[in-house]
Amino acid sequence: MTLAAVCAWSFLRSTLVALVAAFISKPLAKSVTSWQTPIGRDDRPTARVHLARQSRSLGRQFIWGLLLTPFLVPPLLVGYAYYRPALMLVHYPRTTEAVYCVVLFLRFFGAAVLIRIFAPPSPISAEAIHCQRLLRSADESWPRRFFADGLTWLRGPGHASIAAFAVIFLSAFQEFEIAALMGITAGDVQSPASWTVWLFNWQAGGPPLAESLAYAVTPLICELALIVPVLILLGSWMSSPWRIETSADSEGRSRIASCAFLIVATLLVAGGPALIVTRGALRGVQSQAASGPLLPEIGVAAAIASTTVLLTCAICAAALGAAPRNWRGWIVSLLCLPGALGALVLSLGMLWLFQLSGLQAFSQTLVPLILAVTLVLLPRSFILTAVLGSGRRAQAAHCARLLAQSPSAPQRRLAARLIDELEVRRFFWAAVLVWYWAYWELTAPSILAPPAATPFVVRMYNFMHYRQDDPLSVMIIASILVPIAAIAVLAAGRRFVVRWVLQ
Amino acid sequence: MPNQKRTAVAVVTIILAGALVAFALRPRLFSPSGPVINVYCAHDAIFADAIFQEFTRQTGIQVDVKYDTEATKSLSLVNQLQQEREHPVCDVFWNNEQVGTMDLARAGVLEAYKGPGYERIPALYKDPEGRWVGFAARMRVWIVNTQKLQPTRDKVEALFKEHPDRVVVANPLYGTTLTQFSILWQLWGPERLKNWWADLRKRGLRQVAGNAPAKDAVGEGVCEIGWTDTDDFFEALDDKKPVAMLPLFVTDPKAENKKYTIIIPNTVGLIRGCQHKAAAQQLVDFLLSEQTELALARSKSRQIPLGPVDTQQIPSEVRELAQSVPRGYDLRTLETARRECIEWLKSESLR
Repeated sequence: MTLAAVCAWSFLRSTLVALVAAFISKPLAKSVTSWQTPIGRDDRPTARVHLARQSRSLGRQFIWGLLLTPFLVPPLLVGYAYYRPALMLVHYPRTTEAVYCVVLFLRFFGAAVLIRIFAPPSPISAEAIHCQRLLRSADESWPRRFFADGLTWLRGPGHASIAAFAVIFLSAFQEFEIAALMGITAGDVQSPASWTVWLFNWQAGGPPLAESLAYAVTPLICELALIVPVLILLGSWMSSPWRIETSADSEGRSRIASCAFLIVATLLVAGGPALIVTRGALRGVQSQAASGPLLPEIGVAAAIASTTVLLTCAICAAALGAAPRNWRGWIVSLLCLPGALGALVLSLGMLWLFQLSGLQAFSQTLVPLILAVTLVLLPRSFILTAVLGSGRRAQAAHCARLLAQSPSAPQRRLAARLIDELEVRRFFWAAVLVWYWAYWELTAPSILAPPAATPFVVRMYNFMHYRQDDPLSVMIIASILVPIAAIAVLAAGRRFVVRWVLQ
Repeated sequence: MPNQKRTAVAVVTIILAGALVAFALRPRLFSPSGPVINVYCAHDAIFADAIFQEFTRQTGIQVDVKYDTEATKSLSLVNQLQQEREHPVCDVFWNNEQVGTMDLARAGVLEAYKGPGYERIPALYKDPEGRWVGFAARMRVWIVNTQKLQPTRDKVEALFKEHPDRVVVANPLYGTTLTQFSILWQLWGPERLKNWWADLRKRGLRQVAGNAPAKDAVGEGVCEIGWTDTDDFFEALDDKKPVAMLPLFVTDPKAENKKYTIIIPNTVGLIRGCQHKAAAQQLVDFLLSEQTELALARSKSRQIPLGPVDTQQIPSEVRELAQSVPRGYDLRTLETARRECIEWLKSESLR
């Protein structure tokens, strides 16, 4: 199958997945936000109110856990869990395609829901739309009316749906690990196909880099065809004031349906890996002695991810904050371009670049790898920063800062909490998300990591390929627990630091 | 006061950032007491690690290893070594097959070294110039699901001929399946191979990503027979799957249909211009030693020793396989066939 045909197939698949995710994210976002509780204090809550508040808080944590889990399970583990079911379907390629689509959807829909929850409000209010409709003449033809409604939707109420669609489309289109482990091919006879696997297979025999880059142009055009109009359309929206949509009046039935959907999604995406890990964990503890140094490799991955976060933050801050407003779009697009090539081509390019005489001194360092991971993650980081950061609740934050200068210690404490909620927390969690992506990045370390500092994920993939389930289980548990513990400590430390600085 | 605290937070952040940058520039912050060598290894990490640990224990030489993964299978460490030719990072390359290593030798990436290990390996499995040497091999085999088919050669070959839709093979673009195809390219000629493969694909032969999925498909009974390597077969057997194996033969039509087994050795080579030559030579000799071949034969992958070893110390199934070693096809002539074969396979499935 030609690359153009495989790209078209991947494009259709990603479009379908993104459309369904964008569609279903609306009721889910409404249901999830109905669990929100307002920031503030009630000096004398009754026991009943206290109990209701506690159960609501628990419910909120549970629903957020369900929402985030499928999105945060590393793709390697998802692919590993679906490796065997996909193998059982080797005679039924259409079913394999359907399963792959469902897996992609279940893994990425959480991002669409998050975008809807944190998205700025529509620049065109419902009242304005109503007024526009009132102004229409009665004899307006239906195609004209449909066109006008569509245009209004694109300019205002549709922005969150478009952003959700674009992010899910890009994630599904660039997906490689799950496709590779599920045996999605490069377009062999009667099999589902993926351009990422095609481009990967093209590397057989070691073609020159220029050839690989030339072949990366077709998928790049597919991505740009979508990203550019979306960026143009959403440019002004990104700088609108930010708010969390809350829908406290969500119906009971809708809540139950959303909850059931999230539980099924979590079980399907996270349940499989959890089963595999648990099965081999006990036996694996014994064989771990023979499988080499694990903790240092996790440490290397954590250090690479941390440096990537610092670099990403610096680049995002410079591009969105310091760059002239007129040039901002161009600079961001330019910085996103290498990442849109995909990790494979980008890493090969980086390998070539650091063989040049001026840069060769860095080839045994982590510099090429960190640069590659940063460039791979920049498009996602920009979207995160734009959605979470550009439209701050500036007035509320300003009031909280004024409150922080109060002579009263309890008021300063409250101000610290408010500033944490309004400003620090979401950037902290955005940074954690980028860190998490960098921590689990596979393709770039496979090619660029120096032998002295290879992150655990390379060895983990080696074990997956050779089906070393027992040591793999130990590795997975350690590689998940160590960062979770570190993030928990940092999250607690964040609150402490904010309070300490402001008091 | 808050300003002072902000400064303190900024200073701590800068110190942390500085530490991360220092680590990025020099990943090995604490130099070990002895020498350190860089090894690129395409063999299974869980088995190779034990070998490297033993080497370090005996010599005091630290080994930093970069392993192959499925994610880089097609581009492979071979391509990376070619890219790094002018400024080599690697000292020793341990490949899990032979033809890719031969490509490196032809490209001038490997340096000749004939140490004590070189002498104990038969001529069929080493480069006459000493740029690479084979050791601890695998063999291409038919894997048969015994609940679906009686594991006799007649039945297996009949099923393959009549019902290829019940047969599974790995993608021939890389790995040992590529070696098998390169042999067929050389023995049969391009036209016969192309027609044969096109016919099999047309009649529904199942293709999966690698030998491990092919083995799993047969082990689970999804397909009845398939091609794989002995290490994968033994893994299925250890997992108590209902499988049996038969050696895979290739026949030479020009030599009265003489039959060959396909023996695929691990290979080791010294990188030209490497930074730690003496230590690297020590590792090459260690890998080619009887001790290493015995360790790999006794491991779960049951690699077949190529040099002389005490046969009492190896498992009986490996002893049986070792009898096929002298009948192995000479892979040293495959360079051109492999290149042409890759081009053809890419044109078949990727254009």
